[in-house]
Amino acid sequence: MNKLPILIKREFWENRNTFVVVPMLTTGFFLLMMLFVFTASTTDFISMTIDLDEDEQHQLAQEAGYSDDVVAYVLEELDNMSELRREEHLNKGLQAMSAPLVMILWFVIFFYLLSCLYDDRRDRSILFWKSLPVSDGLTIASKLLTALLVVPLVYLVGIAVLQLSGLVLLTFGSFGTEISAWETVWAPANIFSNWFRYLAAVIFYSFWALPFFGWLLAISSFAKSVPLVWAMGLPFALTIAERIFTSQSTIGNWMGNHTIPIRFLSREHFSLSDLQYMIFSLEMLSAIVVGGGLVFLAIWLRGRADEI
Amino acid sequence: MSNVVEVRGVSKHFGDFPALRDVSFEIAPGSIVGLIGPNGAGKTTTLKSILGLTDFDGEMHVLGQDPRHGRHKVMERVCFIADVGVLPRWLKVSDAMDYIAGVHPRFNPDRFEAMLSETKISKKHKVKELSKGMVTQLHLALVMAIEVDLLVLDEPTLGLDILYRKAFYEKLLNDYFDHETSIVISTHQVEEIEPLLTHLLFINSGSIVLDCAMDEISDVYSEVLVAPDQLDRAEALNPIHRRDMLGQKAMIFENIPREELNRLGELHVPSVADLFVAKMQ
Repeated sequence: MNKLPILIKREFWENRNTFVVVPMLTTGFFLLMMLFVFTASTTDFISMTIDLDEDEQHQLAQEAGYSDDVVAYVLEELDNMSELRREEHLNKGLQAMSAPLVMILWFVIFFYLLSCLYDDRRDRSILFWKSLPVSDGLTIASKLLTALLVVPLVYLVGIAVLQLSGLVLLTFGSFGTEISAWETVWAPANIFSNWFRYLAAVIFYSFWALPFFGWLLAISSFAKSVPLVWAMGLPFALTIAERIFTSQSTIGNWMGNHTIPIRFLSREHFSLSDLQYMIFSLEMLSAIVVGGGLVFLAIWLRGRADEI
Repeated sequence: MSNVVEVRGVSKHFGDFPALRDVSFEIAPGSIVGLIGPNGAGKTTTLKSILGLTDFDGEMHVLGQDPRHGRHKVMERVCFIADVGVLPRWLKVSDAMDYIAGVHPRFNPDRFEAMLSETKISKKHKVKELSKGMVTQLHLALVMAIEVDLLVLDEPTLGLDILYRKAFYEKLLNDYFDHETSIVISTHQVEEIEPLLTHLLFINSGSIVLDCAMDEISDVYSEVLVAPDQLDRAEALNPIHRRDMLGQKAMIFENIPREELNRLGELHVPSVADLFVAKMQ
């Protein structure tokens, strides 16, 4: 029998709030904000409130001389751009809409992996889970798969709702104007490639930062108390020690790079060839070897784990 | 049919502390074994070794497998309740059922629902909404719906009131035990499980001090209410335990022929509790 689906379901029962409720509330919140801005800018109905609030969007619109009609301003600007720049700006806008959810997702995964093999030892329910014919390897595989694939997919739903709503609102704004919603908004937005890029980034990051995720799992399986202190303290101490004794920071940099790949994120233009270069690099190989080792360490520790 | 559990020369140390010293015993199919000992005697360590939850030195076979090599394989044919209240508080009753149905090929959901309907527990309840006694009822219902060859219960009724404890063991004996499944129960509340047992194992300070079938106890152990004028003769036979009872002395003897003891006074089969006290001294 394939036990993986029910194991992943189990993770959602335990973590329903952070896996489902939080992205729903966040999406709802930003959706309301968007609707508010749209209503404020397209009708006179709430413009008074906006004037009083000194809303940033409103200021932006005023500077441009469009009274408080943000939607019309954005559409006009997009319409005047070259095709290439239009695409670039729209995609930046779409990515900005996904940013809050992506950031929350990162913290959710972080705390989930850190607690998933710790909490059940603390509440002693490990004795119940271990009384069932599920191997330790499968248990940890289900948790990794949940954190690195299934939960990011749930968050993608929220991101997609926000992005689509943004585009739909711009489309409404274009009604009654000369601007074609298809040419200025939908065609250059390339919404599917946006989601595809998100998924590609999720998968790439799963492997690139496998040492980070494996480390969290190993600590979660090992710590008898304060897993957060262990998880952050040991790498920090190692970085300091390396700096003092060798006055270098090779290990420290490596750990940082495989936690949040700043170099990767901060690039202005990220092309497929860059990605190819990173996938088939020694860095990637080292990440998979070290990360895989840490995941196996977590499995081994889990086999010996007992209530605490 | 070969033994369900075979333990040969198993030892286990926690640092310098010997939790188990050269423990050997067997569990035959269809038996209900009481593993009885004071706190810290090694009951839980013994059971955890059988379940593949801890490492040990020595040889052990559980249903023909070494439990150290793959707990999850052992768990297809063995189930255990380790203590009360180890079900996670966030778990919903219906989810617990779905989960076990999803991972255990021998789980029978209909049987579980039938057993649940005899309690006040609803499938919509979460574990945190149940009382301690109800959590144990739920756990027992889940476990009893799994058809296994060996059921291990480690202090399954600790901290429960007498009503729940009695109901627990009644249910276990009437609804579950079918003379094919073996059951091991560890406890230090000896009296309550005495009528259930077919076999006794006493453990003290990491060693097995008694390993005896219930129906052989009367062959080996006798309790004599010694007549006052026979005290000296009784002492000469080296009783393993003596206590005062209504102004008389009650003594327990090991491996002394009944004919010889008959002359000393009134003869009984000692209760498990008295035997336990005698053996723990």
